[in-house]
Amino acid sequence: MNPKRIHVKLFLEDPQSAPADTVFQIFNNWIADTPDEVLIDVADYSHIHNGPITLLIGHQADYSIDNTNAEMGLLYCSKQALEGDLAAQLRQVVTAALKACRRLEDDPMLQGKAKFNGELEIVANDRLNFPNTPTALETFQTALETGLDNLYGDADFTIENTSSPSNLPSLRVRGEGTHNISSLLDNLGG
Amino acid sequence: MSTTWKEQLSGQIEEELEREIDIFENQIQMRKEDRLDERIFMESRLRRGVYGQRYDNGQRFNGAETQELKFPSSSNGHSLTKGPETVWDAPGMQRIKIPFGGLNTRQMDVLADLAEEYSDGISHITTRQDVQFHFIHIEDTPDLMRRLAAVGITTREACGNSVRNVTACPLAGVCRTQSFDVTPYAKACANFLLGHPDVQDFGRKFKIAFSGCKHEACGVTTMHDMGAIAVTRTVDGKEQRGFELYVGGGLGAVPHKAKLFDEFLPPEELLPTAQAISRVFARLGEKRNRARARVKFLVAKLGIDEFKRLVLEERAQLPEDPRWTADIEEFLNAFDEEPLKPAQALNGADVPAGFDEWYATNVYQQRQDGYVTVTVSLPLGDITSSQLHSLADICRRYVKDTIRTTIEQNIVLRWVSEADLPALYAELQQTGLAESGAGTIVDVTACPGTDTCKLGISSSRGLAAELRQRLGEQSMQMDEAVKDLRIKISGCFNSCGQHHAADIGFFGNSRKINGIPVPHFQVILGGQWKENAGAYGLAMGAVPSKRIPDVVTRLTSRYIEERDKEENFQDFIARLGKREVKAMLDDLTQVPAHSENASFYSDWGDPREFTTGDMGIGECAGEVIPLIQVEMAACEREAFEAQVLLDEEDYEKATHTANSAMLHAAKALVKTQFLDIPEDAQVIQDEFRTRLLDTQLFWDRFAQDKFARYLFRAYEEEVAEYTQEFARQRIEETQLFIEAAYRCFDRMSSD
Repeated sequence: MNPKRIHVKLFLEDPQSAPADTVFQIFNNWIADTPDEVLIDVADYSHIHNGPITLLIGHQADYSIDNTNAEMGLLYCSKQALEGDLAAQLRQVVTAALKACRRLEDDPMLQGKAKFNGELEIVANDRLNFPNTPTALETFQTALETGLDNLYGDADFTIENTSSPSNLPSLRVRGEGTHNISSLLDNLGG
Repeated sequence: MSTTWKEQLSGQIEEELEREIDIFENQIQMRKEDRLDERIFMESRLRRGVYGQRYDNGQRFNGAETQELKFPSSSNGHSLTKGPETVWDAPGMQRIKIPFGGLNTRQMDVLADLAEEYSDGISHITTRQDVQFHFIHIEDTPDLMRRLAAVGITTREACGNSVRNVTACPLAGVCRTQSFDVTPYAKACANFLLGHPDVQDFGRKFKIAFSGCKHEACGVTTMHDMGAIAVTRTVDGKEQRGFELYVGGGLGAVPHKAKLFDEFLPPEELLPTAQAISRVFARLGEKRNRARARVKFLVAKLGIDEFKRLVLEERAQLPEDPRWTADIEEFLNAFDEEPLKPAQALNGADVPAGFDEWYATNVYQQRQDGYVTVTVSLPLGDITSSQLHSLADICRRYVKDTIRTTIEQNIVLRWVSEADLPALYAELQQTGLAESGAGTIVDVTACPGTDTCKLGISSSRGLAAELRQRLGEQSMQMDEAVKDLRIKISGCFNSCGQHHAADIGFFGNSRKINGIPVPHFQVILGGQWKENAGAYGLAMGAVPSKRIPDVVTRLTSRYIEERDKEENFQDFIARLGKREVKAMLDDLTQVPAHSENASFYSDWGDPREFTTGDMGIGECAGEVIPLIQVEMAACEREAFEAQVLLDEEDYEKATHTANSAMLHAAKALVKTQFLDIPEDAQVIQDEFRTRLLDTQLFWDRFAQDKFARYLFRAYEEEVAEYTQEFARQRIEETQLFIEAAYRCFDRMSSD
């Protein structure tokens, strides 16, 4: 069984490059300017320590600038059941997350300052269908290797298990060398 | 592997609860198949704590125009709803009852899991010790309920017209000034009334609170439908326990202080009396008009003596129920908190940086030597799933499931061995939960307001976050006199933020400046948090949202400079007098034109333009003030005069002045259609009824004709005695009428 919800986080090179107020306005604009997705509201959580800062609530997925573990980045959380096998699903959510990153990078309100470093963390957020077991983690890693085999082009990439035993299955993916969002998207054909 | 949570949790959920959740899941299916009416489904989901949320009508203003949100359930020919004007796929709120705020670590872990999987990763502690999740899809709720039920938590009757969460002082049992521990009684009361047949036919909700002592804030019993304060007496040399029982309190739009029902209610009479009160409320309480359906209105209508007579009569007729005593005995015997570690004093141990400041505000010396209660301050009541898991882990290391939520939106850990404090502080620090300032002016409480609530007018959370940040930066240098003040904020007049009982309270409203709406907050002063919310504050005038931090600075600075020795804030405000306070804030009520400073036209934490229509500023609009705006300002002044008269104890004149303010607000509205409206009160009412009420221009989507009826009642009723309380309520109603008149005018202008 595949997880119903999958999270993908990409990390900002400069944590200060996407101020909460500006991102709030950008996300607010996305609600009006994203015809292929139902985006609902923007929530301000900037008062919270190391959590979501600005959160765009959607029907299919949520987007946030998130500072969990003091690592600032864009978090994409899929919420509806996805089609295909797990590898295809991972490819789908990573592509969606990368597109959101590129959209942020390109937004004139951020003046080209927001850049992502090409590292990803992927979490299976479904304790019923995808509990944190060694088998599930192995399935997760295999699907990730298949689904994202060309994410970094010809460069090698490493996958690290970042989940603690009491938490959700979580894998960190790093490609060798530097990779910008556009090249990652191109590699995935997005 | 199980494919559903129902299978996975089979056998772990109490049978009756499991059946109820199954029924609810079936109702969801029936509604999807259009085999269940949307109104019936709505009532059903509310009784399970599944609430609507802002934008669930499928529309949102994006700062320029109202945009349709194209949910799958309401597009391509579908129109599935979960209630009137409530789109099926629109996210909603799930309220979770936590009786007396009591939590264990397993429950904390499950709450964290659920927030992460079904919500936005945030658990929100409410002003009634509940937990709320936002942005929940209706179809996820049965599994969410099952997972809660498996750890002993129910969402049953968390919303709807029934007995809501039974709250209690979070220090009950460890408090130094308590008469006795009210926890087992609160637990027995919650258990006994949950799903009880006698609480199923109320016209409105019913809230119960328990306090261990009278003079602290404790359970804020005076603002509850039923409040019980622990008291003892000695008879024949033997100490007896009992409760000072109050009924008919409540905040809401028109606050009422609860009335004393019994000076000493023996514990064995607690549950039958609650049952008898429920029966009388169900039988005689208002059902048709929701705005007057709380028990406070019934008590006010009948008088406390008659209400008590009816309850005692009902009590005498109740069939004997063994649970009246068995439930209490069961919980008295079963409830026995234990510490995890032996008591040990701090004894000058080395402490980390920041510890002393945190210790001064967040640590409470328990009545048990060597033990303390630690408050974990949660900004705006929010905690992330990651933090909640970490906190559960921390709790496992320092306490034995002795954890409670508080009505000030924090979490307390009880029975911490004092010697553990430095290590505990360091661990809390690592997870971002060691913020100091609990129970001080920095610890601002706020309802969800415009963030998620359908009724919110101004951003209570946005303002609270701003004040918290600003005051937090000053806290080290802050005068001690100011530190202990409480600030509480509601997004509208409905008082979920409990603004009436704060030293400095605010509730959200809006004003149009040159045709453009500006977020405002009404300033409420004179409330008292201690003495179980011993006094309610009164409105001092509406101030633009962006100037509220200046209001706080001005009030607190003047208090520091001019207070008499040991004079408390409430007495200081009373001594200054309303005229002086209003004069002090007058310049802060001014709003610059949009072209001068557009920031006034958006709210805290939300950079969208605060408007529901196009701006449409004409060339000279900045200079033109419509007549009605002048007249409405005069009505506000008249309402303020009524407050001054109330202070001067001229209750009759205060009442008449308030009535007159309402009448003039009505006249100002009528005048927009009928310029020569005479001054005659009856003519004004008749014209107002025909032109504005019957046409539903003066109409509130939720309260309907409630505010209009304030006016008619004021001029219809014969008053036997002009009491302080009567005058005070009339002034509250007048404020609400004026607010409604502003909204009506806004609507007329938009149309």
